[in-house]
Formats: sequence, structure tokens, C-alpha cells
Amino acid sequence: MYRLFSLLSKYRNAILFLVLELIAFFCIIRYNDAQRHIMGDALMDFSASIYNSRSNVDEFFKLRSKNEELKADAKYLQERLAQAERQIQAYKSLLDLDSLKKIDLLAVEREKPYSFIPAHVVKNTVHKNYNYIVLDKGSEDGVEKDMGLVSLQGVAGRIIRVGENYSLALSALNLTFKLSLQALDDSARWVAGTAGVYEWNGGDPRFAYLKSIPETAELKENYTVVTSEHSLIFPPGYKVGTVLELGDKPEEGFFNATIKLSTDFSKLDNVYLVKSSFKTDIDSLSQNLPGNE
Amino acid sequence: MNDSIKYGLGLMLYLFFQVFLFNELELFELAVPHVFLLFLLMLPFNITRPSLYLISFGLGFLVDILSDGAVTGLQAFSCVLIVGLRSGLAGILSSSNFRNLEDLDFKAQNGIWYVGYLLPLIFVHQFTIHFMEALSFQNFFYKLLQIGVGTAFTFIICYILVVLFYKR
Repeated sequence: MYRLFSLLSKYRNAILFLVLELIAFFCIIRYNDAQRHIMGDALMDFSASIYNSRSNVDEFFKLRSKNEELKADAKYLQERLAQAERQIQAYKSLLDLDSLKKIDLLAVEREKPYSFIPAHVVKNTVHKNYNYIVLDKGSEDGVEKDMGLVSLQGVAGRIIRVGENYSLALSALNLTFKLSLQALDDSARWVAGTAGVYEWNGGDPRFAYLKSIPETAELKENYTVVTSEHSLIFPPGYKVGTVLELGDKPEEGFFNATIKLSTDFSKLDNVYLVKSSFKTDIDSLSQNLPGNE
Repeated sequence: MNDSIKYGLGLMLYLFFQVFLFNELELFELAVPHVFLLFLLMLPFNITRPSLYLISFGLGFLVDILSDGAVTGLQAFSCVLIVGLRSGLAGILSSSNFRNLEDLDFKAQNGIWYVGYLLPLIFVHQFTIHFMEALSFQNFFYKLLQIGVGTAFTFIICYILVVLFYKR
């Protein structure tokens, strides 16, 4: 013990020097946005692995309720699958009657424009203005930047940073998250001219806004709001929420609507990353366009 | 007692001039002179190491806080770094003349000694603040230009102050 103290006092100047340098370095990366982001990239993998071990413990105690949720998810998916099969059969029989149209339906069935990577939420916040989601899948699992993030209930976010084993997603509950949306009516048909922009204004994590809808759009309450046909990162028609009430008109010719989000962000756990097979194609096409640096 | 009042006043003067005068002197929009370093570098060598480190950390931090758009902690980091290096450098420069560094008299040194003492430390300070701010070596040569201009500018002003106030 005495030797420890004598050692410490022998090097006390060097220790003080190092401590002060560490405090200063901590200030640099903690209290300055630019430096924090640079270090953030390097530290993300590290901190995510800590959160992961914590959530592993958490997980163990939630296994039972998770199991119930997964059963419910599976049931929902099977119902959707059966419904889709019936629709395909119906279309096929229609086409058989009208033999003039020889579309290779089998080919349509074979191609898979979107594939999904299942992932697990390691860390998620809902109460801030800028919320982020950390996922336990990274570049080694095929995750890329700008992939869409969905839960079975609806859209959840977009990947903005990818580490080796972890990735960081911008939550849909983030002031900077934007998405173009469309509405479906009660019988799940596209409602013409209801394109709008998704925005979240902070505050309640259950509601968001659909902004800049043309005044001519026949939008009604309880209509389903889904991702637009032109979305590159989400499958078209993926559920986002339902229209809760039609809102004010901030500018001439447009109006806003409040939507109730179908994803429960406070319980977000099993999520899927959307990999679109033609996004790389489109990206490479739009590279090197003038004004698109 | 007399000494601590003298150095306390000196610290406030350097801080005042750094924040209100030298921070505004932007040469070619490349560099700002960090003249307050001279206060730390001209503190007597018989001051204890811990107080030297704490003073430089405090002064650096005050400059950080009082400068517009500065990166918090940056000056504190580089100030502690250069005062950590200063006695080693002074020891090398004065090895033939002095046995004991604590007896070193700033007034007795010649111009070449000051060049050898101030220039490397100012360069290290400039180097640290530029690369710690970026936390990477991108734009290396532009940064080097900024560091060079900043070092020269700071050194010239410091040397003038040394000739005016510190040398016999």
C-alpha cells in the first residue's frame, strides 16, 4: 500500500497532466457538435455493444410476452398471405377468361423487388425532438445506408449510419424525418391526388402530420396513410398510420392532417430493414447528373 | 505575495487582450495570434508543476469560453500540452549554461534562446488546435498553411512583447 502511494506521488505531476488533458479532450468531444459527431461514429459500435448486453438481460425477462407478440404477428402475416393468394388466384382467373392478355404471371410472382432483413432494436428513444434507433445488424449482415426501417405495424425509420455489427437509424419520430405518403380508402384503393409529406413535430410519439395535401384531394378521416408509390426506400403502400383529423390550411390550396401512427414506438422491438433490389440501379443512374453532386 | 498579485494581473491583462484584441486580428482569414500563450511560457520555472498545469488549463478554458465560435476545451488541451513540454525544451536549450532549471532567468537570455524556446512551442500549440479541432488529417496541406501562418504571426507578436517587456 505504501509503495502504491509512493508510486502515485512520484508520478503525481504526470497523472495531473494526463487527467487535465483527458478532461479537455472530453470537453472537446462532448460539448461541440462537429467533434461529437466525428467521435460519435467511432464510439457508436462501442456504446451499441454495451446497450446490447444490457438489452440481452432485459430480453430474458420479456420472453413470454415476446412470444405472444410473435404469435400475433405470425397470425396477421398468415392472414395477409392467404388474402394475397386469393387475390392472385382471382386475377389469374380473370386473365384466363381474357386470353388476349398473356402476361407471364409466374415471372411476376418469382421476382422479389424487396427483401427484408430482420433486426432487433438495441436502443430507442421517443421523448426527444431528434430520436434515433440503434439496431443489432450492421454492414456484415448486408445493411446499407438509406435502407428503410419498418415494423410489422408500419414504417419506423431510415438507416443513416452503418457500423460493422450495428447500425443507427433516424427514427420516424425525428424532426428531420421526411417521407412522401399517399392515402388508401376504406376498400384499400389508392385515393387520387392525396400525396402529402410526412412530418413529426416533436411531442406526442403517437401522432404525426401529413402536410401539403392538395385541397382537391378527397381525404377523409380513418383513411389509411401509406408510403407513396414513388418511394425508393420503402415498399409502396406500406402502412404508416390512419388519418385522425383533417387540419388547418397553412397556405393557399393545401391542407394538413393529423395521423395516428400505426407503429407503437415505445414498444419497438422486432423490426425489418427493407432492401430494395432496384435502388442501387436507380442510384447509379442518378449519379453524375449535373446539379446532383 | 507580491509575485502572485503581479502574475494575477498579468493573467487578466493577457486574457483581456486575447479576447478583445487578438481574437479579432485575423490574418488573411487564415489565422489568429494566440498571444496569451506568452503568459504561460514566461511563468517562472520555480513554480510547481501542479499549479502550472492548473493555471494553464484554467486560462485555456477561459479563452475557450470567452472566444466566439471556439471549440470548448481545445485551448485548455493544447495549453496543458505545451506547458508540459516547456521545461524539457528549456532544459535542452540551457543545458550548457545552467545546472538547475529553477534558477533560469528569462531576462538573461538572448534572442536566439527565445526563438528556440517560443517557436517550437507555439508551433505545437497551433498544430494541436488545428488537428484536434478536425480530429482527422483531412485537408492536411491547407491546415499546414494555417498552422504556419498562425505560428509566424503569434511568434512575431510574442517576440515583440518579449523585447519590450521581458528582456533586459
